Amino acid sequence: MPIKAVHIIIDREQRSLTPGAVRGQAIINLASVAASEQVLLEVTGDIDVPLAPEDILFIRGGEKFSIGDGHPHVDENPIVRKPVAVTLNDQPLPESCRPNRAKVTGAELKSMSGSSGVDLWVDLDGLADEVIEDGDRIILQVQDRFFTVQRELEDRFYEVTVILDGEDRDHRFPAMMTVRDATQRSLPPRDRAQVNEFDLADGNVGTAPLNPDLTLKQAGVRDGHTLSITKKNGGGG
Amino acid sequence: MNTAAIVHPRLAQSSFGRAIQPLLTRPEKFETLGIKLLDFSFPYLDVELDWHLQGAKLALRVDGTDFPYRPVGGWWIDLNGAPLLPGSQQVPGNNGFHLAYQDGQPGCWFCFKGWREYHDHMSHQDVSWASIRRDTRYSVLQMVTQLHKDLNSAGVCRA
Repeated sequence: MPIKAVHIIIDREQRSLTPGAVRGQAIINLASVAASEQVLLEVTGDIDVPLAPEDILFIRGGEKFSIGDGHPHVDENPIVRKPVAVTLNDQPLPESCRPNRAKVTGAELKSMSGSSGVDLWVDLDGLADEVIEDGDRIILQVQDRFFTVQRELEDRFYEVTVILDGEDRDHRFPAMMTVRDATQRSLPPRDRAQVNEFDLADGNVGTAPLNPDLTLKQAGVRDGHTLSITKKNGGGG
Repeated sequence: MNTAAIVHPRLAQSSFGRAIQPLLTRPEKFETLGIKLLDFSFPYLDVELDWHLQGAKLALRVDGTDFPYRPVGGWWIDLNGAPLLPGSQQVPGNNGFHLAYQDGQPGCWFCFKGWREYHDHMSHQDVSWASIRRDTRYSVLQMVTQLHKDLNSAGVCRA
């Protein structure tokens, strides 16, 4: 089952929140601050980052927020001491590309991938991945992992159920993502490096494993389908 | 085989019921994969597996007695719930689908980790059930899903 709630700390008090992509407004609401006060994401060893209502940040649990009185004034998108090395397409951003501000837009991140005509996604462990729109401004955290996928006007993504380890989970995958990548993103982190040991099958298409080199669209996966992951070799002797 | 209960039946029922909850509450998801819920009455879960390579369907009984202290047992059954025996050309053979017990008596069992008969076999005492039972890869429904996939693998034939 997907994680329903995690704990974060706001002004030294523990609060419960649904994990995933969260707007700044949701945290501000939890903090119940006065108009003159600011809610800031605490960053160890660097400047704390004030939240604007429209900002997006990815909540995994354990994040800490403080409440500032607005003095001294902290820029809404401050320059950071240590640019954040987020992961883009499985690689940490090269030092020369790391943004020197705390927040970047989806469009800016996409341009760092060097590709055009792509969608930007965030890879969230244990949760459905989410697409980031160009205008979304993200508060970067070191554990953020993004990837880009060729954009297709039709069938931009598929919402499917993946059954693995006896649990059914809802996922949203880009239609142009390969079967191998979709399998990898469905596996728990401990198994991701061994993705080639697993098969993905689409029960709506048949029971045969899908070709890992095809895109989900080419393999016949569609919205609402039910997929399953099994070991290639069940170990029978 | 009938033996005295090791785990209190209520505890085993609760653990087993929890392990198969996704199938009980969302059977349509599993049916799409070719795994149809037939019946659940502790200790037995009965499902029908689509054996599409042979154009057939096979009923599987999963026995949750003493679960999770002991792994689940599994065997094929007919419409009346009686075990299917090899020789009838209704059960699978090869690739881990075995057709005789250790004592030579005919009977179907699954030579895959996580199934009771596998761990009871004298050749498989190097991997204990206790060492893997918390691994979700050996959850009851994943094992059923894997068994369904292995049933439909090349080399498995009617026996």
